[in-house]
Amino acid sequence: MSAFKNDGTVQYGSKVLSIGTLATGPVINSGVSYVADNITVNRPGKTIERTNEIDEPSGQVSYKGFVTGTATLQIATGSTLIPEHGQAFILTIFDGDGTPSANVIEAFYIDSVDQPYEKSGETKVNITFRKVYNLP
Amino acid sequence: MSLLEEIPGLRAAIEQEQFSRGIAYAGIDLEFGGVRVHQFTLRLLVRLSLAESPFVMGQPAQEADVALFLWAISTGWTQDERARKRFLKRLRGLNIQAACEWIRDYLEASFLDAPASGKPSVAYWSYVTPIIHRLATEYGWTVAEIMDAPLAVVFQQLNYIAHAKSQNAVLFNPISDRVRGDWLKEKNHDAGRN
Repeated sequence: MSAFKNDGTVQYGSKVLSIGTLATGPVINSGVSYVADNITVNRPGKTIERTNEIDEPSGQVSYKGFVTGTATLQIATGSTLIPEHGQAFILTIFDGDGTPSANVIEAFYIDSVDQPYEKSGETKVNITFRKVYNLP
Repeated sequence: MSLLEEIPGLRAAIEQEQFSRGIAYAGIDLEFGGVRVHQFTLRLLVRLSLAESPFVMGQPAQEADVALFLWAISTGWTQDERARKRFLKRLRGLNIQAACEWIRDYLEASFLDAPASGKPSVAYWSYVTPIIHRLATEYGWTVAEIMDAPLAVVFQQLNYIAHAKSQNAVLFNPISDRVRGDWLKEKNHDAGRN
């Protein structure tokens, strides 16, 4: 794994996501559309620090950690198709490694689904997701 | 492509929502058929609930119910019986259908940001109690200030408190969410995914 220069949490706002089964491409098969609000992708880092004999910093190396995220999904009016654990989606986003305008396609799978909330016939649910590192 | 470009009607729905939300904070009275009325408040809701007004009980309304509703929300409301009779006399000849529609719109705007339903729970207090508790705790408002604040302000502040306490709070934009939900329904239907 290569070292990186910068880390951070980047907000992606609202997008239409097609959520379904991840297939070679990567593409999503049998995808159901949802509007995702407050998409946040977290790109944490891990740093190993080296100090000299009197504990002064003498070097460090930082690595990328696991990419995870959260979002609130709106479900189509009248639908009961709440997304399930393990279902996947693809985000076309800018990489968080400090490279300007690097357009990156990443696949994510859902690893938790909260209790859905309903108001005036519309349903929303919070999910968390993790990046897929081994694409089919 | 942004959602505003992708979903027809979304921009107009958001503008309508923002206008309605802004009115709540403008500190202005409203008017219908020559009657000056307050913005709807918790106190008015309680008063009309106790009087079993069909407009707040979700039941069909009669002519007398329209007049009593307008009296209850009018800026001239007092407990004086003669004032009430004078007011009701003034309303004779009112277009009842138009009045019913106006009252429904008035209530809909007031409840636009009412909290979403989650798990039902047993209540040992009035529905007003948790609202007062939350706003008094957060802002130090008095019971009277909360009861007399426009309901649309109360609900927006409650939503903001929920958001400030948790970035994951699930919130709704009822007008624009409906546009998005209907668009998703059509999109999924076209793809055979409903």
